[in-house]
Amino acid sequence: MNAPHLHLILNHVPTIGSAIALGLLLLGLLRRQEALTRVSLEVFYVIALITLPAYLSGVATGMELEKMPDVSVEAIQKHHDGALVAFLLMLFTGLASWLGLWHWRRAARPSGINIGIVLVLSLLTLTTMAGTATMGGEIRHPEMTLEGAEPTAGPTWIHAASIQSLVTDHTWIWPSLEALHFIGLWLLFGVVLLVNLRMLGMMKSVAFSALHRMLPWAVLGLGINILSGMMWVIATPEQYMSNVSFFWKMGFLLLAGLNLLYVTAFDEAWQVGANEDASFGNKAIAFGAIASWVCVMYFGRMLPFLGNAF
Amino acid sequence: MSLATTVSIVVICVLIVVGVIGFAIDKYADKTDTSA
Repeated sequence: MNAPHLHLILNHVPTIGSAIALGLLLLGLLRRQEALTRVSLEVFYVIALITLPAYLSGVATGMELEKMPDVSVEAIQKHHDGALVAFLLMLFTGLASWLGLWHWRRAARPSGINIGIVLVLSLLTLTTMAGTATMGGEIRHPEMTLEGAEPTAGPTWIHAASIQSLVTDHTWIWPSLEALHFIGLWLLFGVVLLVNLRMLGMMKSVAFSALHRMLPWAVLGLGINILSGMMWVIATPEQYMSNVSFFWKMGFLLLAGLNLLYVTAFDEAWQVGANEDASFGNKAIAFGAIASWVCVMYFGRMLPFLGNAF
Repeated sequence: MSLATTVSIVVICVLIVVGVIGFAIDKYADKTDTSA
């Protein structure tokens, strides 16, 4: 399987997935079923995670398509610009959903403001995602445009090419992103290590719920790293898109991201009290999470050595 | 301004923003905490 094949599989997930999650959210609110609302937040978070490989495989596909003589480079760039906006909106929807789940776990009730924010963000995301999907379709399927109608317009206020020039033309941006990426990493890994080591049996006198309140710091670190990493990928896609180390890094990042959802929202982890042992299953998940984050760091560090970056 | 100075200023500014958001969320956790 190559990147275009992967993109063809994944590119429907953000649009259809966010429509399903939004449907669940609306249904939960209308029927006043909190369990349904909570599931919708979990689905938004998972869809936001899957949007990352959908976007990255799209960048790789664009690079392949640009080599073909009968494909409009302008249409590809327009789709990329739309995807960038849609990805950022999906990222913020995922972060807001995660924050809602974190609050819900701690307060044992949902936050009305948070649900409102997720609802607005998800509506924006779905609209933008649907437009982006249409632009993607128009690249190879001009027959889908109605006769006499103009192709879908891309965003005018943000362009991937502008971000590329911004990063490559200013010498201070790359090292600033490097510094922030490393600080984001230790913020994230520090908290993840604490939470998962507790699950493995260390710091037994501390209840899991006491460490749970640290999780937003980990997610802030993750946010810094996704944004800084995205800027590098947009600036120099050729360093990442044919880099085996980068694909392994992204794979482990998805696994580690799922663990973050588990420790945030699931009952099994939350119920581990002071001086209590976590179950074998929880310990296995904690070990897997630490291993996944170590692999994310390892393959990130190996980008120039196993792959072709820098 | 040297490259090191520019990078330091940018990084410190971003960290201040992240710190403010992080502490605001932590304060918010105090108000709703039922775990104790």
